[in-house]
Amino acid sequence: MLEVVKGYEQSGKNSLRDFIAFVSDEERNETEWNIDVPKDMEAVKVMTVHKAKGLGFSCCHTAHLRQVIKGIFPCSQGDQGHGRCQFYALNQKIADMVDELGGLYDELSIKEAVNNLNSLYVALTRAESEMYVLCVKNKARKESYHFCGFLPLEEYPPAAMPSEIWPGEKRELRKIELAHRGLRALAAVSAEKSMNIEGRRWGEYIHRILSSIDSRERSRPLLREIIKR
Amino acid sequence: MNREFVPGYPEDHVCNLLTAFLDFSDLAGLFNERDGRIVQTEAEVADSKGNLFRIDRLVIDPQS
Repeated sequence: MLEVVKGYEQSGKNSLRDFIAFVSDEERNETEWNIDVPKDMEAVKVMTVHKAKGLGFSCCHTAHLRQVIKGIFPCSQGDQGHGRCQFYALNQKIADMVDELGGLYDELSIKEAVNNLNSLYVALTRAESEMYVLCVKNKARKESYHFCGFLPLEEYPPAAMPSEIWPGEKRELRKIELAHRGLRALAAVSAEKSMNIEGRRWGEYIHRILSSIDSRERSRPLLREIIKR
Repeated sequence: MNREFVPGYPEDHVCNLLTAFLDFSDLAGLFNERDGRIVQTEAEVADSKGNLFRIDRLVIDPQS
C-alpha cells in the first residue's frame, strides 16, 4: 500500500481525490499493485485460490475465512417480448414463499456449491510438502462458510505444529549480505549540493521567524526575542 | 522551534534584514495591523479537488 502511495506521489500528484480514483480503477492499475519479485527469490506469495490454479508450492496456507452466505443469489430473467431484463435478489425466504422460485433457488444453490467445491479442490492440491488449512467456524449462528461446509472439521480437530518442517528436505541456511555498501558515498556532498543545503537552511530559518510574526508593529520590538527564540 | 536545527546566523544581520523586509518589501502590507484583520500562519486548506496546501501566511480582511 505504501509503495503504491509512494509511486503515485512520485508521479507529481498529491490529491487525495485523484488517488482514490486511481486505486478505484481496477482495470487500469492492476499492475501497479503487483510487487515484482524475482522467481528464484524465496518469498511468500499471496494470491487467491483462482490465481493459484495450475501452480504448485512447497508450503501452502489457505485461509477460508468466514463468508456469510445468506442465500442471496443474483439472478435475471430476460423478457424478450418487452425488451426488458429483470433482476432479482433471491434468498431462501423468498424461495419458500414463491413456488416458481423454489426450483430456481435450488438450481443456483447447486451451482454455487459446485463452484465452491472446485475452488476447494484447487486450494487443497497446490501444496507439495506442507498444507495448512485455516477455517473460521461459528457454531452459534449456524452460518454457512465458504469452503468450510465441505470439510470434515469435526473429524480433524486442530493439530499441533509439526516438529519437523520441510520433511525429507535438507535446507541450507542462506547467508544474506548487505546489498548496499555505499552509505559513505551518501555522506559525501558536493560543493554545489552543500550550497543548496545551506540556502535551504537559511530559507527555513527565515520562514520559521516570519511564521512567528503577528504584525510588524507589534513584532518590531520583539524581533530580536523572536530570533533568539 | 527545534534548537538542534537553528543555524548560527548573526543576530544583527537577521534582525536588520527582517526589519527591512517588513518595512519596505511588497509584502509589507500583509504584516500591517488592521481592524477586523485575521492572520493565520501555516494554515492548512484543501481545495475542491482534494489538493492539500499549507499557506505560510493567510490574511483575511473584512469586506470594505
